[in-house]
Amino acid sequence: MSSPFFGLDIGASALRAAQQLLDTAAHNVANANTPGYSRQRVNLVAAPPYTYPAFNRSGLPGQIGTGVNVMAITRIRDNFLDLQVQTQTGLQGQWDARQQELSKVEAIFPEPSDSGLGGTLSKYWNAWQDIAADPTSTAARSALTEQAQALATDINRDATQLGIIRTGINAQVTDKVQTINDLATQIATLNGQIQRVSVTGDNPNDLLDQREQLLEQLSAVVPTQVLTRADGTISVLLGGTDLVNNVYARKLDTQTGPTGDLTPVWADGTAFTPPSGALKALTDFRDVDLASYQSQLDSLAQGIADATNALHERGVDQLGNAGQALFTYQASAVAGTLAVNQAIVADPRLLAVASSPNSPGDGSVAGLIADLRNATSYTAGTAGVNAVGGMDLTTGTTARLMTIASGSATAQTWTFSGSGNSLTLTGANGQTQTITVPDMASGTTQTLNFDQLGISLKLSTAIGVGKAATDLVTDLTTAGQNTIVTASLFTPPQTASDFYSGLVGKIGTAGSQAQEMGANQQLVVNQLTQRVASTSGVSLDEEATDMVRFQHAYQAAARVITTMDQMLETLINNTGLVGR
Amino acid sequence: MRVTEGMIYNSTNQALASTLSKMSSMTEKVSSTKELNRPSDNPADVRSAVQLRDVLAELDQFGRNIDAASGRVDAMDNAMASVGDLIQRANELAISGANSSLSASDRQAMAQEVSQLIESVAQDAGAKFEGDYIFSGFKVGTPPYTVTGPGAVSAYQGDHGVVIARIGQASSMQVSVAGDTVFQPALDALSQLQSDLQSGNLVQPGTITALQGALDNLLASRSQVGARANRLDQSKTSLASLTTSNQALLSQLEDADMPSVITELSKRQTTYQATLAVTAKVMQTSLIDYLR
Repeated sequence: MSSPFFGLDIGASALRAAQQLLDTAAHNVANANTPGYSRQRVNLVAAPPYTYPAFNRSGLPGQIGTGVNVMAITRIRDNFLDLQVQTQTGLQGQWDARQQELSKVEAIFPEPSDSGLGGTLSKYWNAWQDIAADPTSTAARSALTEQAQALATDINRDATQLGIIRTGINAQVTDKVQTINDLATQIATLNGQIQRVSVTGDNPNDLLDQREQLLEQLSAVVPTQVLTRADGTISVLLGGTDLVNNVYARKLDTQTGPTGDLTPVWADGTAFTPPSGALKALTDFRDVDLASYQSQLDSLAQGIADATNALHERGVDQLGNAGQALFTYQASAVAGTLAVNQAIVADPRLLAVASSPNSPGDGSVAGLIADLRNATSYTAGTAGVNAVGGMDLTTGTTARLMTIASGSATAQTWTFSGSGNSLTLTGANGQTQTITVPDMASGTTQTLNFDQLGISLKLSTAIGVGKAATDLVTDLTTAGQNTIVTASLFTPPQTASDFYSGLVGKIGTAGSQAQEMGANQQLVVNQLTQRVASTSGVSLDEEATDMVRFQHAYQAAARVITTMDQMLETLINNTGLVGR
Repeated sequence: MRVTEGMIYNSTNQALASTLSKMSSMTEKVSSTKELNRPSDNPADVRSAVQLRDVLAELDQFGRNIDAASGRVDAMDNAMASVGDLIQRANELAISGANSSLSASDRQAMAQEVSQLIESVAQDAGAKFEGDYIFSGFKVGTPPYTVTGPGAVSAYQGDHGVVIARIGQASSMQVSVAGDTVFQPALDALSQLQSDLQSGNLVQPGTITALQGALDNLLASRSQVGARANRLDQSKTSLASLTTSNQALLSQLEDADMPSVITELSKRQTTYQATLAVTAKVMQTSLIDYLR
């Protein structure tokens, strides 16, 4: 027979359990908005019943329930979902970082608009046409120097802005490495705490939540591999190497490269190459995309400057001297150092737009430079040889090499030779073609077409004077004046407008791809976050229902104790009083 | 599926954020009236737009070049017309000078007038456009002829430089005429006439032929210049239509289709308000409101 006080103990266990249930519900409600928190549940189990099977068991029917025990407090968590969240967050971090940098680059090239480099470039070419139309106009000359300076300044500014983005990325690399180190230290600390709780058999629910939250933050920066140990600790691996093992965290550092760029490395100097994530997105963007934008801006500046200079140096200025270089730059940083020759800015008469001295009305060189706008390559006499007189192939005024309609010629120097009316053009690489030159009719232009070499030279005669084929061949083959050079503005050959719009297009394509991928990745992460919220999130309605349920259970348990109390009252105080 | 408050907050936030971001891009299009506001808006179209803008800038420049060339050609035509009148007058003088009824002194008086005519031709040949001599080839700072004495002019002082006007892509035009090709025959014939008259004899038939030849030569040059003026006019017209079609193309690429953008914007606004209304209803209530 069990004791009359036995029921009191059962009631007490029910009270304790209900209280624990309410406490946990309160904890859930309190943490409903805590990031990374997983709802907790109290695992109840019926207490071991009485009696145990034994020979000395009482003869009563058994077993008799003995109340309720609180077994454990666990959290509701799907580990597989965590893994997915970590992976996908990492990818999102990667695209977001890339998109952010690209939007900064896009701001440097605000196209299509009048304020971008494209508009400046158009105005630059137009200014040359204005001089070609009126070479004696001081206003047109001044306007050209202004436009050339505007072009140089715009390219300088864009180069500086790209440089600032590079500096910004390097600062971010340092930040990210610091973030990784901080997170690793915190995870290692949590590992220690979790280990201590786990060995006692308890569940470190809140600590586990915190650790998972840190892991999620870490995987946004760099993808991790996580191994869970039996003692509850985790090892975090970056590319096969332990970042966190037990309570120990390994440090990352940055290494400064020859160009001043920062690369993440392990603190002991071992190489560290993240396979994906925000850190990789940043270094990749810097080393691949940004580097290509910077070098293309350099190419754009150099293509325009070199072609302009090559033709300008073969012109003659208003003082009768050979033209100087209009643009100057340092080969190591073309776009950053592009500048206009200050002597020419100070005295626009030094713009060499005539093809021979004492020809103030001759703007043909300005015309040739203006024609570069739609040219993919250009041809010019060898520097120092035809310097004065530029394209003037003769001592008289009979024939001028006016313009070049060449398409596919590779960059090299070509030499004329021949006799009679047969003219041979030989390239530095041995390519050669011989053509028969016809007599030039007066007042017409004539094209010497070396089709096999991809060069055609347009000659124009002055009005009223013709030139016999044999004289023309003699002029062209005169030693010291018989070379021309061909060069492409850009590689592969294309016009400045194509090159620039190509660069803008490339930036735009990368930007829109990063936006789309980032948005898609955001959707994936959102969906996973929702699933985590569905599994582990706290539902206030649910907790409210539970509270009502637990409150009732508590009240019922208290009622059981009251009932027991009344029973004992009956037994102790009101029993055996008959006849008193 | 278990739905928690957190999920409702999350999805509401996401829905509102995505609607707002779309609305903000629509608003940008409306306020800028541009479909393309940055390279990533439509990389291929932006690329074409950048190229088209350069084409349009160049077409604009061709327009200015044509205007300058037209002014120059008109100035040349005026000078030549005036010289034509002078030759006509010389022709009249020559014909009356060939009349035997005139006295030698009459002829010498006429020679005076021819001297004036020669000087006038030299002056007309010295016509300027924007401060430059237009009949001196590249030597625009030097007049083609200078008067060296009464009825006497220098030899041609210009050169045969060819001034080219760029009037279209891969289309250029010669807008200069060397002064000696236009005026030398006239000056030669006039000085021949002058010496004939000065001598007091009858004007030689060869002189009259030479004057006729000079006039023909001038008319040939004038018709050449007139043809250039025509070509410039035509170029101007075709340039205008080219500009219009390119502008239309650019507008198609760049400009926002306002009715559709605004319709889209108000659609988004409706969505946004609906989301807000539904959210307000769902989020307001909870079981806690009903528990006492």
